[in-house]
Amino acid sequence: MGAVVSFRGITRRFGSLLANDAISFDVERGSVHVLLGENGAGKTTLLSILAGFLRADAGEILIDGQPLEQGSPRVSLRRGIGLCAQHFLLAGALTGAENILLGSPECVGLRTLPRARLDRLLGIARANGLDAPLDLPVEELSVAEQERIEILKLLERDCSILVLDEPTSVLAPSEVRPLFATLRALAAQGKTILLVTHRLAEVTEIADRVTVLRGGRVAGEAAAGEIDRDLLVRWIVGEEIQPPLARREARPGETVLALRSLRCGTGACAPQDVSLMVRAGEVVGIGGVLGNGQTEIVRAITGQIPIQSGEIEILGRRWGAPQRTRLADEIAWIPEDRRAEGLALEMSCGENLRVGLPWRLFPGRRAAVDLLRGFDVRPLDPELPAASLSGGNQQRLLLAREMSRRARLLLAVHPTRGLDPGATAFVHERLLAARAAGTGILLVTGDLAELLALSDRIAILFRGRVGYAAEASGVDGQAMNRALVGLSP
Amino acid sequence: MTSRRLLLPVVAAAIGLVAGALLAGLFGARPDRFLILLLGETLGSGYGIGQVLFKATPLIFTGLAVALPFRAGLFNIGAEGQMMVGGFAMALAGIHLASVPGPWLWLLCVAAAFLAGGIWGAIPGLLKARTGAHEVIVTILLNFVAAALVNYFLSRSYALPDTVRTATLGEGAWMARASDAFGFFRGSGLSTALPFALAAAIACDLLLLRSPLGFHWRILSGGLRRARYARLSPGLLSALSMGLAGAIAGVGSCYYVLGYKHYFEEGFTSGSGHVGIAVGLLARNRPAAIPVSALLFGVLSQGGLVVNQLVPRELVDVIVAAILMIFISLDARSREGGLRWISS
Amino acid sequence: MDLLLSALAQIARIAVPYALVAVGGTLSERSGVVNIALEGILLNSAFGAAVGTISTGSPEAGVLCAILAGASTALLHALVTVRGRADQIVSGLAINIGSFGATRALLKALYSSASNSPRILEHPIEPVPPFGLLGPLGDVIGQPLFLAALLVCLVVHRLLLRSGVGLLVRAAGERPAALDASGVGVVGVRTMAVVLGGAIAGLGGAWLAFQQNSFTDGMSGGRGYIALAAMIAGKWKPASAVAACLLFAAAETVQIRLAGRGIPTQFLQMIPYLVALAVLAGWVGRAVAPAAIGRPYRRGQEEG
Repeated sequence: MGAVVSFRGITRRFGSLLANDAISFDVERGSVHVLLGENGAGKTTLLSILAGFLRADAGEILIDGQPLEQGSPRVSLRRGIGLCAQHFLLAGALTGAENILLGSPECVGLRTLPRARLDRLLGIARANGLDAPLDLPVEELSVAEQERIEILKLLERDCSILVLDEPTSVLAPSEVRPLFATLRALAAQGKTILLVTHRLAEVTEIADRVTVLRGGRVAGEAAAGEIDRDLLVRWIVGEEIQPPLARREARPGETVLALRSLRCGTGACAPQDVSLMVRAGEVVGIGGVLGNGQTEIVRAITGQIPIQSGEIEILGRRWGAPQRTRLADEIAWIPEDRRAEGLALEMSCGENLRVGLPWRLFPGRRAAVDLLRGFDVRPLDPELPAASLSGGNQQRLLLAREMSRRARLLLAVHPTRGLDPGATAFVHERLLAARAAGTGILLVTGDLAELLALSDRIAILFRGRVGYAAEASGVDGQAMNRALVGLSP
Repeated sequence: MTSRRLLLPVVAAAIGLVAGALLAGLFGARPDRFLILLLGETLGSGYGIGQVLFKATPLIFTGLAVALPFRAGLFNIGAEGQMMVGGFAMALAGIHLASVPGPWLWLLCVAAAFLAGGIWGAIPGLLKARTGAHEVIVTILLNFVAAALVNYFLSRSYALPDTVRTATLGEGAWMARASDAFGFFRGSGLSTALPFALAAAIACDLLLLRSPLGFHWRILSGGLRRARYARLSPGLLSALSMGLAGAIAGVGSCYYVLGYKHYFEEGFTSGSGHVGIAVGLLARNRPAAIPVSALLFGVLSQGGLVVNQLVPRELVDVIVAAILMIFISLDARSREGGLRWISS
Repeated sequence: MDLLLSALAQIARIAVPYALVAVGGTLSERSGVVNIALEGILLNSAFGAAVGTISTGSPEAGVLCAILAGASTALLHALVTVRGRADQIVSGLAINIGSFGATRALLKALYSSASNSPRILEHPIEPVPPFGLLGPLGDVIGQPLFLAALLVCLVVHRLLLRSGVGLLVRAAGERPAALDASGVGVVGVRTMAVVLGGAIAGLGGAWLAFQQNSFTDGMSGGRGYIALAAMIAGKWKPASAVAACLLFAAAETVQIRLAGRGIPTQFLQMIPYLVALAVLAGWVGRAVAPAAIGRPYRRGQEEG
């Protein structure tokens, strides 16, 4: 069995970010090959290039020894590459059968889709352990069933190389085993499976071979027989733990935020039974691989999603539905999507400084200029539309607004995502300044180094539960890393 | 980027005019003669200029009635009906209270129009807030209902025999004609409604860009994800926006009912509501820019009468439509960076 | 009995343009394109039918002209909004403004009248023989155009909801990215749906013109918008939209029958619009539009 997919020196940049750095490895035909790594390791970029949605800046991909023409999903499909993305590409109101048959030759005809075809699909589904109702609208199916339909789509198109991006992240533990059985069977039929995950336990179950990415590079590879979990962990996370940034001892005051057994959101990784506390003058950081429930916690606090059970208490007051309909004055919020949620891009910088504030707190012109200067927003012009600022400056603008409110609780969600090192350092400095001024900060970040640098206390989430929690000064690196990938500390 | 935003409407207007001239050729007229008539004769005399301004006046009001809700994320296509309803209420007040001296009568008439138009505009706003009914179709349907309603009251009680107009309003409500003060405008229907319209435009500009209410409207226009930053409920903001727009359109009928004929006449709106959409869009929904945009369409409107000797004057409506289509096409292209030669 | 037949005949006669426009609109909106231009399309195609028949003397030519007028107007809308990615609602409104102006201008130019065209048909079209037995009802539903309309509505319903091509259209309106990923061009599918929808609505314009036997200025009279309300009431399914149109037609028939019985005509005139408003206000329950409607499609621009 030879290599069916060969990555040769794949390199891809996004601005200043080097997402893939000369990645080279082979995938054998008929094998289940796992691509492992944490946030920002470059896995999704690599898959996008393979599936034709992106072009690499350098390097090539060989399929069966022949170079793949990049940048065309149609070409990749023709070469047999099928991608099951993290966000399914299904039309919710259409049935499973309709979604599967979309684009097949039957579609270009006036004839109705015959019953025999449906039965044949059902047969294929059953034979591969991918049972799912095919005659119901897809939006009524469970996530596991939707995933099966996505995979059936790939089978229907005769894909020989199945690429699955985090397929287990939406599944409950009991649903993972049947999926793996299916993948095994498909591999036995000669299909090649390239599977991306961040969960170590799964790797040992299914992989024939593992490639670990870290920081855009191949950090290590191992075959099924030689898998050593600790070694893998070290490859994924790296050797060193960042020391916390130099700062004053935390002198925490009263509790500003208390979560008690919080359960919210839907899905397999939604927060379950999360309890934590943030006090004035300290930073509590929630980390872990993205998609394990971190952002749902913040969304529950800001009222974007409902709470199923448990309690939120802010500044001693119970935070129920009526309080959560509009942003409160007591909470400052740096949302994860600054463009769509935090800023009004078509408005000027000066106006953005007022968004969400009560009228009496609107900064006047001079105050606005001072604020922009204080947070080093460039170019410094209150009349300039926010859309013309660079990403880093937009984040500074957002920070200027949120931090000038002197709120008691600050929710910072991925505050440095997409920023260059200079802007990142600035944000860190400001967060610590707020901490020193007595603000309680709940920090959500996928960047471990940042988490450890800023937090007084950390909690690692995995599948919606706190897998590991500790004071920053006493973090057990091993235990933390194991919690990241779902192993018990 | 600012020069692109300014240039695009001008380019669209220019192309539309040229296209219209070519179209006139199909109707047997010489394109250049058509343009000379359309632009030259309209602006070539005091009467012409006066008429252009006269025709532009209602367009300022309806343009505002479209632009304000647009900045809050809503489409108001009901300016036609709102103006009708407002105008009729205005006439009712002016007739029943005819003995009240001016300017009190004027004030009462304007207030009546404001109220009536405001209610007619608030209905779609509330429907949208409560039931999510799309305001585009609702406002259009309400235009038809307004026409029928007004027709009913006219034919039953208020129309003078064998006419479609009401009695003349009390003199206390009349707005002075420009030709009374400036002989230059002799013969045209231009009145003090124009400065009134300009004042309304300035007021709306201040409201939209400098008041908390306008601020919240503009936040709302970014969609529901931003709605949580608006400190008033989206439903209330929608109803207020549409209500105010209807009120402005209603008051706008003063150009005819108070300033020109001094009575209400069925059909006087003659499409101002729809042209108002073009006026608003070409001004990029900026209230301060609407008078300029209204001027362009005022020229077209008056020009239509002038070119009627050559081609049917409805060709001007086709030109309006063409300008609109060209504008949105260019705008979509330039938004995606396809028109680099036009951006600064 | 005769009364019942003539009432049914009237309902059928009134319902045809509503139904065809509603079905045409459904096709367009299912593919993801809002089509407010249907009012203008109806007007243009009525005019086309008039011109076509008057100049050639053949009603078949008139019908063909109507369909062409509808399809080409829709093509303009499609080019600007699907290919050009401009705002769909404004495009529709512009087309309506332009259509009113153009038809009136052409009316003056061709027939020297500001309000009507000359008579279209010298002799009324005979109903297809078997239907002659149904008296006044047969005169209506026996019309070749009526039968064609019925056929079109049934065929579109079946094709849209059950055939492969219909699946492509529905996918374009629900999740165009999925359609694109499966290798089918979204722009092509949407354009085709809009143009076909316009052609179907064009048939409704022909009916309108023939029934009145002339073209009158502004004769679409808001039917395009009411048909859109019917489409929403029918939850974007062709057969249900047609049922809603029958409801509107029945309301209008009641209005006509009640005329002269003491209720002011204007209030009766308002009935179709008020019914449409009631429908939109959710009297028939909230309707869910195709998920991707109203948004131009650009590859790689998915949210989420």
